[in-house]
Amino acid sequence: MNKLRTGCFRKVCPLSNDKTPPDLNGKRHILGYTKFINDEITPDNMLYITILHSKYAYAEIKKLSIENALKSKGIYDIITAEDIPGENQIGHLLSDEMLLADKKVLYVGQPIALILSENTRDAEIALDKIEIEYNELKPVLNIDEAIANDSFYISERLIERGDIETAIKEAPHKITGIVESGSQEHFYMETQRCRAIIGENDEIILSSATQSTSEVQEIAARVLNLSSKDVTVDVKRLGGAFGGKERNATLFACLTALAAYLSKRPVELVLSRHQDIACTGKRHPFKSDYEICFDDEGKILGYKVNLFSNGGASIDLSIAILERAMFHAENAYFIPNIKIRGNACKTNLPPNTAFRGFGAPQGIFVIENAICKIAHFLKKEIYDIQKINMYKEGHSSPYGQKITDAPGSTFLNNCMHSANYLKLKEQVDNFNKCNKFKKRGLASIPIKFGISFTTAFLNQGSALIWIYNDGSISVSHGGVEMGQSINKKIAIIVSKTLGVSLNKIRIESANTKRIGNASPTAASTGTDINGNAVRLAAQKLRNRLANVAFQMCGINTQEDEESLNPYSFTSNKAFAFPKISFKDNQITIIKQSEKHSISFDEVVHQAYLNRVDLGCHAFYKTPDLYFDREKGKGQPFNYYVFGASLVEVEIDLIHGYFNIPKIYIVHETGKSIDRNIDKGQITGAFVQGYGWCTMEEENYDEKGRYLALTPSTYKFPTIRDIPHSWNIGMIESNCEKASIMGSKAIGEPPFIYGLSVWFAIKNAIESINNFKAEAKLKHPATPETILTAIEELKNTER
Amino acid sequence: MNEINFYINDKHYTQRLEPGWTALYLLRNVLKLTGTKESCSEGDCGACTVAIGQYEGENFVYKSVNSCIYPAVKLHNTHLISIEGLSIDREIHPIQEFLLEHHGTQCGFCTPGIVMSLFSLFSIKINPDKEDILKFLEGNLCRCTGYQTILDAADSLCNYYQKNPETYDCFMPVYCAEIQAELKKGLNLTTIASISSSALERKETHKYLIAYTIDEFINISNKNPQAKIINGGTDIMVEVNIKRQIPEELIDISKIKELKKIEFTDDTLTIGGAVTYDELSCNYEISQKFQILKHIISQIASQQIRHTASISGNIANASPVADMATCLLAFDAELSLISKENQRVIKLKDFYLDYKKTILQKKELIKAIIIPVKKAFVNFEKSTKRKAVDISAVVSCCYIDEEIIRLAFGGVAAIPKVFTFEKQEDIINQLLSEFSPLSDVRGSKEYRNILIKNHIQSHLQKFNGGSYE
Repeated sequence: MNKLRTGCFRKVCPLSNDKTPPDLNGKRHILGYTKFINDEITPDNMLYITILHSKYAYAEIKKLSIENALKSKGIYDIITAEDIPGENQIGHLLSDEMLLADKKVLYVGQPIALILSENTRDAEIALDKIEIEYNELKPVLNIDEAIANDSFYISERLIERGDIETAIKEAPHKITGIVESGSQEHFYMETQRCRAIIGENDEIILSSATQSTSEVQEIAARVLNLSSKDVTVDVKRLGGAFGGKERNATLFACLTALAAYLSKRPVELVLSRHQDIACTGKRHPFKSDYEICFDDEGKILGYKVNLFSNGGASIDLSIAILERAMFHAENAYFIPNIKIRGNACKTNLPPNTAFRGFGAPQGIFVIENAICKIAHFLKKEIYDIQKINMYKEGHSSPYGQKITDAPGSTFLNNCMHSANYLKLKEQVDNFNKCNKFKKRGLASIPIKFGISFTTAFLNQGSALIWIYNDGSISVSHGGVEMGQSINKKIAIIVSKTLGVSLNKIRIESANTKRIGNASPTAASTGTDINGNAVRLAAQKLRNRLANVAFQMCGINTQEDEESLNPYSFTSNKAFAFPKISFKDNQITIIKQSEKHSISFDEVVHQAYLNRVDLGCHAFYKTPDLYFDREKGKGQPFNYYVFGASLVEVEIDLIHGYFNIPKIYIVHETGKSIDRNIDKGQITGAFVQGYGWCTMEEENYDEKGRYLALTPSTYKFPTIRDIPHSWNIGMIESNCEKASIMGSKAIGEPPFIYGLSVWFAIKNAIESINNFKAEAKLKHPATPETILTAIEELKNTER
Repeated sequence: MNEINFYINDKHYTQRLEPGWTALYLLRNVLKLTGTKESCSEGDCGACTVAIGQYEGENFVYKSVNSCIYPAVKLHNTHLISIEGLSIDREIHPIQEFLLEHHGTQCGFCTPGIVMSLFSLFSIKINPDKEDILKFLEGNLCRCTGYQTILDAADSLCNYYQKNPETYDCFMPVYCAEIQAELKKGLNLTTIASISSSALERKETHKYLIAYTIDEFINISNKNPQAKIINGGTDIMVEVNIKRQIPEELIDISKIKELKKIEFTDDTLTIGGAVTYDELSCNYEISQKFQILKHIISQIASQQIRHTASISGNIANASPVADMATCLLAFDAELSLISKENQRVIKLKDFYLDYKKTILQKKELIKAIIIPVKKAFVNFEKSTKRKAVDISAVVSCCYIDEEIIRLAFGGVAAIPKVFTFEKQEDIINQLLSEFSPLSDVRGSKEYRNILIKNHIQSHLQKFNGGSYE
């Protein structure tokens, strides 16, 4: 039966020329060959973890007895806090996150004990036999309660410029408002998981679904009273992460490591969807109040905003997220007098954590709401207000970073122009006149998104390249592949630098043995920091090979491998004559119009015989980053990504449904390393962004239990919800500050475009009464909140 | 105790399977075919989609199903194709090639399910239209791509087949023809009992019984009076996955030919008790004479669920927000019930007693649903959080003929309810006082009250020649 079919399918197959290895272009995914953790063959004696989760959001554990449960059928062991050999602590900023709760539980779903068994059904029976008594305490759940109880993580953060009080006093107009934005479940398709095996000499080897290899390594070692050298973390790929596996994964990796360490057997932990949603942190909900003042034209004179985030039960990344919200509080607008205050609330929800955008969408949502209000107040269009307030060259941000290469207003204008805005608006007005039960709305949003970890020391990447004797190449780097195709981008960088085809390159798993002290693959910086390290390593190797190639052609030259300029190798003075090029798996030397070509493999082999080092590690740190938290000043970002979007939305007044007839996006990618990958990031981020603003709703009850625990109740966009027409412009921009090979980071910035859908829905609702009053639309704009806003609007009219 | 006879990809298996195993468990844990992914375990995300082929009359049809809630024992005499099966006889299947070309994958976790949904679609139709594509993919969630690239891939495969129809000949993997020929011989089994232990709690007495005729059903149910009826299993298996307990005795009625009939007479439409949503929707006569049903079905569940779930299951399950039951109430449908002692026909409106309670007795089967066919205006409104693949907050159906106005509502009380009126004017005043919607995760009381008003408005608007669309 296994005859290979030939000749009967497409003769002209565009892919037959594609040399991209199947692990880089997604072919293995599509064929179903890709192995995620839990897809690999199971070792015979593997034990599975079943977690005893806390039932309460805040309670003392009065009694915990595992005696009866231990006797239950098929139970290998039950692990509680007292079995932990090292520190029962996985917090990194503060020591505020226990691996297993012992005296107190701080959120629903917090792990208290682990049952180890070969059959999880046995463990579930034993779970009911664990005797646990709680003394329930009153939890703090929402931001208002936290403020009332003075429950904050650190003292208030402040970024300030100018004299806001005078500005407000003297301004012709001022408006105040309160803005809330909701939570968002990551819903990575692959739930949290980890497999641990015991290596020789008691080494713990973790296959963890984490974005942060080194953090898992370090914290697992701390928990087990080992040192980092005794723990290896290996990550082949993740089935989606979106920030949800930056910190969240550490807990589950450490639980698995602990179980393996104690049982000396292979152990696996895979969360069910239900568990995953119930007990892991999400996007931070924000509640903010603001006061904004402006002149008759709508020029913003001052903005005072207090951002409060709901951080959940441990500090996690809440401070960095709050900071990024503050760094983006003014979005793309120059505001001379500004005061941004930030507070992270400590509550009894699962620790809220990183999620694509990392606070920026929440901060931007507030100022865009304020702009909306200004437009209403002055009876102008939102676009008019946006336009006149955009950053210009020479401006600086409230925290003092110079805005260079500021094409922000160009992007917004381009976007409106490409959409033929005036005509579109006329069409929308006509549509609204003719339709009683359907209304359309428009909204634009400009973006300015800062790239770099705002925690400066994290902006470091490293790479390790081996060129083998046969000319094939192994590349290790600090980034984790999670669907963003970092591995393909890395391979392209190596391929371009060494002039070899992609099929000569293998990108290795992210492994702490090969790349130590790696920063999380996060903040959209994965390709910037690791790609630059890879570039540096590849350049050093190229220089070594160049020397060998010159020798092979009888030219004597000794070049310092560090000295070369990356992209103009042939124009470098030292090589002005003779010239060398690396291309198409050939190394070509041109000497007095004579051309010598030697194959890459041959040069590599000769280099080996000449005892030239064909392995190279390189390190990259993003230059000139600093931020003084006390003063609220500095240069936290390497560069900004600019862009703008305009969206047309149609709502249905019967059901409160919406759809998106058109989306226009003009986005700055720089010199994209791979346009298809970047386009996929733009569309994916946009859909996730408006998911957050519309149907994705995660509420909790008065006991702090999340209510939508499965996809039957937690709804994110399906294929039926996407725009009917996409118009995406990717702009090269030639920005000096762009990163690797002239490209700009792509992961998070396009998420912000999703916000425009919320504003367009609001705009559509307001068309019902001819924009006379502002709609009180809540976030997210579910059908329920849309219909409620419509009812309210109609009632105020009466 | 019987062995199950089935094919997976190019291989034949005769094996004992446990009643509680899902097809996904069989694939991943027993056969170690881990290309098919598990993500939600309740048939709502599509990551675990496989294509299951069996004879429908003379045609062998591969339907996409959610393997995470598909009982493995149902695989008897079928051919399951999983992601691994598409590239056994070639380097890459056309669907895969087009997805690759259009960059239709990012993290790769949802990808196998998307490939299999498209495989099922294109195996049924060479030239699907946009609506077909959306229909087959709406049950496949992807968190990375934003879907456009996937849609592009499907669109261009469509165009490709339009231009090169001859290449469609090798759409099916080569091994399929041989397997289909083998399966034509068919072998019926009746009892499947468990022997070995599994991840599920079970007892030696666990039984999965298959009835092939109504008489057999009556016999089996009398011998096993506690047995629960299973058809598609899309509700029962979700429960099994959550509670990890399988009902001790199940009677599978999905193979009873008499229950598969869809019959039109001059004034009635009779839908057999095992007819699935998809079968009803694809029925030629329905699409000619009863288009509204097709339209209604297109708004219910996902294609994977429509392929397995039955209409009568939606009725018997007695959910207060049952979409189909609500519609059938508006049609004033009747149910034909059968058991050893009794055969009776009752009005659907008399079927529901209270929350999740019906007059259906143990051992009693919904043999058919009988819908009066009359020239009438019918309109269906469904309000959910998300347009596709979502459970209603409020659902309603309005039926107006020369004599009567019937308005049925789900999601507004403990059971779906129907009301009759003589004049349009009576509706609003009478109706609003009848409802007592609750607040739950799908919506607040206040929201449901708005929806009730809006639905009524929409029904009447459309009836009165409204220019709603």
